[in-house]
Amino acid sequence: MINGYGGSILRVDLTTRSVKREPVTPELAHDWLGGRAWIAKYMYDELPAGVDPLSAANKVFLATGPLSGTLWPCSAKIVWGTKSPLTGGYIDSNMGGLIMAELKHAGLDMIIVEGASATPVYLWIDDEKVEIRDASGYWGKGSVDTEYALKHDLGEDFQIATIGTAGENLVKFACITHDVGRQAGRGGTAAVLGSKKLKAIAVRGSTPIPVANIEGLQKHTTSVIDYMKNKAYFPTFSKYGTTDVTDWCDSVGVIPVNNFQHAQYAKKDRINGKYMREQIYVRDKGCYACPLGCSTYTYSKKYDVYVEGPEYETIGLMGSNLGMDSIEEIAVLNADVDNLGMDSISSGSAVAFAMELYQRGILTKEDFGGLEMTWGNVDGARAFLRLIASRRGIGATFAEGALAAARIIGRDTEKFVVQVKGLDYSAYDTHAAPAMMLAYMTSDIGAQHTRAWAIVQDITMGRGTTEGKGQVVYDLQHLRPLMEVLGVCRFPWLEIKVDWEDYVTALNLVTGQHYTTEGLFAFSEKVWNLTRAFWTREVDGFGRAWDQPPAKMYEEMPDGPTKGAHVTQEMVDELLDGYYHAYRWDQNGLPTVQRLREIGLGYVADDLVKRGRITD
Amino acid sequence: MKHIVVRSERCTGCRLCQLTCSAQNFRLNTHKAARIGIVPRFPEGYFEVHLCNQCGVCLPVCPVEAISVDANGAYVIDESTCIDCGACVDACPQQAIFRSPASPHPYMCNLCGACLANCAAQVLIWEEDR
Repeated sequence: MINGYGGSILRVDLTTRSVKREPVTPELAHDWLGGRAWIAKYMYDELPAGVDPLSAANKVFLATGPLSGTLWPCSAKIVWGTKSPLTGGYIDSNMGGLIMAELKHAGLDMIIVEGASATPVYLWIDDEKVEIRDASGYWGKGSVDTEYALKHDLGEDFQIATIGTAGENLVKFACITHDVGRQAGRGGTAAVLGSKKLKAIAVRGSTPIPVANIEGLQKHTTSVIDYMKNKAYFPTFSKYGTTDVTDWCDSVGVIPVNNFQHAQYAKKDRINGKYMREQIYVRDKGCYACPLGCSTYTYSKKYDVYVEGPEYETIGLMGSNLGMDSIEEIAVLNADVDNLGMDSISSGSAVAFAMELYQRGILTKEDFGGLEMTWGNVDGARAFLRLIASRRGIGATFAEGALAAARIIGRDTEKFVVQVKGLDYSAYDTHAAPAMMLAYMTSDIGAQHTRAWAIVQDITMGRGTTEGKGQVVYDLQHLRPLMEVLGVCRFPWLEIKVDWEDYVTALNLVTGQHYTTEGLFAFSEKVWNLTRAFWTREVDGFGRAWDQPPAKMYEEMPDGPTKGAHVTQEMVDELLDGYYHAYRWDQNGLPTVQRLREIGLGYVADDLVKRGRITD
Repeated sequence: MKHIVVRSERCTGCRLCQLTCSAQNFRLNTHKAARIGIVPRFPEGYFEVHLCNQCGVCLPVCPVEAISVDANGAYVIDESTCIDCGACVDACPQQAIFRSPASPHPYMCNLCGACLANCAAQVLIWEEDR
């Protein structure tokens, strides 16, 4: 027994239909902690170099952290990882809900899915019993519909993660869904599950998670929750969650409008958290052990549809970025992509790209099979999303992701796609936010906001300046990804200002170890270098050229609070120089042999040298 | 004496009450040993909260008179008398008498109140006796 851990890793081979449990060793627990660190390590160590993401040789990793499923507030995170079919590089994406606790109650800290089944299957886990079961009765169903069907068939006490038809059809931004509306959204992990014909994972467990000092943990938890409840922002964030940032993003000119052509939205008051609360609110919903309950479960009367959300990212990408009229349109689009099983960020990006091509006359009504892809046309967007999920008509092109679609369409359309490394931007424009732009440029999965959300620093340090921004992003990239190593949510820290040291205290109470912030940050740097090494190994010519911002950022913002703002190559170079310097990488942004050895990744350095990716 | 009022319309389904209850009463990190039950109802979108409200229906149902009321007004099952027949579990109109591997006998809320401190949504609050 290792405190903080279920104790085993489940290896599932869908080709041979065999499963085996491997023990979590004290070394693995102590040296690599869990969550995304395990994923990075196993991905580098076990995936054959150059593996096709949708081949049987790719693997999907599902990992909890030592705090996942514990009493510690917001210990609800579980991380999915694979070689991304969307980007060709490292991807991990986390979800909340309750499944992380159930998995650990079944004695499991990680599942590794290997091989591929010839027919649809789902993985059934009931404590020590594991079966690969026929899923033909669920294949073809939506993500949420599949979860309801499996709960009906297996019992409410099973926790279930599913893919939708988009995952079955290998849509490269298909996502995994759990607990009605929690998604591991980014990078197309569900397409990899679809290629393996794995429709769902259902798990139930009964063994409590071993904790070194449960009395201490309870005391610490109660003290931190008491602190949180007394913070001024607590009731507001509990009420509105991420939607509370909508007005602010509009006021500072970072909300995406019509595929990032503008950054302020005239209909802001019809898509913000306040309007959402008035129009479609049903209930606040919380993930496991979460005193915040930031998620909002809603019902749109206009479209007769329930959905968990929309969150701010969906409001931005599927609302203002598509020119939608109100929160009701966003809710129905959100419900559609949730059940089809597609990332609402990349879905929003794909539809916005299509609408801009339509706006510019590059693609026409005929190209879209008769759909009028005008800004704000919710019916057009809904039909188009279905074409994508089913790969019918032009949907097959956009199912490859917006960047790949642009390369298929040609005609210099790549410049309209707002992405880095093939992963579409989250809902923060960066015409006048260099630190945030650098965060997108250097996030280890592509343009995602969660690794470093640096807009606040852009505003406090100056929106036109690049000075010190490399260090800002470096620092954020050390702390924030640790949340996904430990298996916890960042919101208590980010929104309610729970001290990071309180997380470290919780980790030590749970594990009985003596981790320090200094040690954890050094560990975080090791993990970041490892994911960078994975990109270096997998992508020919990887380096500085892959860390560039989208072409749109070089064009002047025509109006709004950031009118006239644009990025220059000089700024981009300054940002990357400062950032690479902080990591002690070379001028091309590649880890050096010396640095890799210093941080305990000598074997990775040797491997990259042997493959000719870096030089000794 | 006081009892716990449940305002289930505020429940977010986070299970902190159950986690806290299990830690307080059994020294276990789980939501599954709790003396309180949460049942999600979706797609309608609400959570049923099952908690003993001291109605007393269980008391006469017990064939071996193992159930009594303690000084705080909580209903308690005497483990040395209980034969684990399950009559109280079946009879409870609140579905608030539980079984788990944490105990060889059923149990219900003992009014320890630990859960209230961690229920940030204030679903659970103290109320002086009716």
